[in-house]
Amino acid sequence: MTTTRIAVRAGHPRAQVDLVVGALAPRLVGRTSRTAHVALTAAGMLLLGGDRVEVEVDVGPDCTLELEDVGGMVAYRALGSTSQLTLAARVGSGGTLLWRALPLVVAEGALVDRRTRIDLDRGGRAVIRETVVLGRQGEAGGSLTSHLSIADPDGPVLTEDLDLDGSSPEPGVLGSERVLDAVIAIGFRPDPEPGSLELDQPGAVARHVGRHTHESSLDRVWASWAEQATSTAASRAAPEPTPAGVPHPR
Amino acid sequence: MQPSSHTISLLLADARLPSGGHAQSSGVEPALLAGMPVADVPAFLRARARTTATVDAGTAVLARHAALDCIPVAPIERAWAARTPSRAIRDASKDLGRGLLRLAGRIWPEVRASLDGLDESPPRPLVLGAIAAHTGIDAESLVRLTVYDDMACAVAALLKLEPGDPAQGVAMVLDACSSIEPHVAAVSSITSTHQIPAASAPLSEAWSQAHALTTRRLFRA
Repeated sequence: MTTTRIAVRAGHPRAQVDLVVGALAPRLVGRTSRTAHVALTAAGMLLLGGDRVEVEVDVGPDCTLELEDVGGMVAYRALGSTSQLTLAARVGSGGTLLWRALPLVVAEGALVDRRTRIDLDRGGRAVIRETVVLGRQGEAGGSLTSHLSIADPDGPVLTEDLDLDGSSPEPGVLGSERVLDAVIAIGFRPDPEPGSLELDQPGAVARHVGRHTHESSLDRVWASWAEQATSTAASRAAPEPTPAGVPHPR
Repeated sequence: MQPSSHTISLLLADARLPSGGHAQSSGVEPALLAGMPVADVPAFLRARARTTATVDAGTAVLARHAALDCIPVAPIERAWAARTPSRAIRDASKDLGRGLLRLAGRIWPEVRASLDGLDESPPRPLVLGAIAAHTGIDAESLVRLTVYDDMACAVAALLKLEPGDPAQGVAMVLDACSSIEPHVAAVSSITSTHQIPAASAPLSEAWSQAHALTTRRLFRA
């Protein structure tokens, strides 16, 4: 299936936004000269066994892309066939990616392989929301392997493999809980939140592990960290581009 | 005459080694303080062996390579840190690394040179890897040693926190160590930082973070 693609470049008077529809359909919600807000909707029924969903994101230098899911995703019983979700993002120098994903529900019998890779150029930032729910109501949940790799030009910042299987819970991993909600901020040091993990390189992870998504307090953390990413990004952004590409004098 | 690498392995795995391991519970005290039932400890240890301990084992293997081939270790430390998001767990590992390096610096002075570019408190697996390189410990033994030491620390701490049958503790160590046997060959043959295992344990990471802030603890982590 075609790769879903979202690319943003600074432009005048409005940013140039390229959207390619794949398994997910991106829709432009709004833009300015350096920012774009894009909503992602499933173009068909997702996620069935054997589905391959690929999303590519390219945030130009000094641009901000706000990407949000319109519906969550359910990975259905797959009869032994793995579904693949591949997300690859590049954030140009001084750019910011805000990716607010809705929950991925891994139904009983589903097999999901998710790979997320984010590469930040110098001064790039990202705040992403990731929520995994093992099973629909009353189910133990299927199996998920999730590889997350976030790097800047000097090397890895966060590398994380999560192997979950609703039928064999592990104490210390998710135990008997079924929801793993996370906000991940990279490229800057956000204000710490209770229990948040401060990474070695600039960045932090806030997580909620529990029975239900509605118990999570991460909506507030998401809003706060996203705001910090953009407010500090705006203060260091280059001057507005003009049609000739020559910056206005300030 | 140089002692056998087997003797060095035994020495490094010995709880009586003066390197500070007695102050660590390998995540067991944080888990129990967070309310994990004692009955879950065996499964917790198997999960720990698959996640945190295997990240460390892969890191140690690469540090051993780096010391043998005289290549810089700073990128290995960075790869390890990217796989260890909890500062509490990073700090615990650096405490252990400092103790081990202090000892190693006396017995095998060349170990320090292999960790050039790191500070006085390198993470424990980097020090273990450098010692392995200089004392002839092979990669598979290094993987088993790294995991065993973590598990043995956990069970020694468990017996202090929840006194029980020490033989059962021994059985837990053996059970957790044998659970990673199918992966030993793969982990011991990695040659680059992106191959270092990265399995995460979100609850354990959260517990360690909370534990670092409490005053009701016997162990550092």
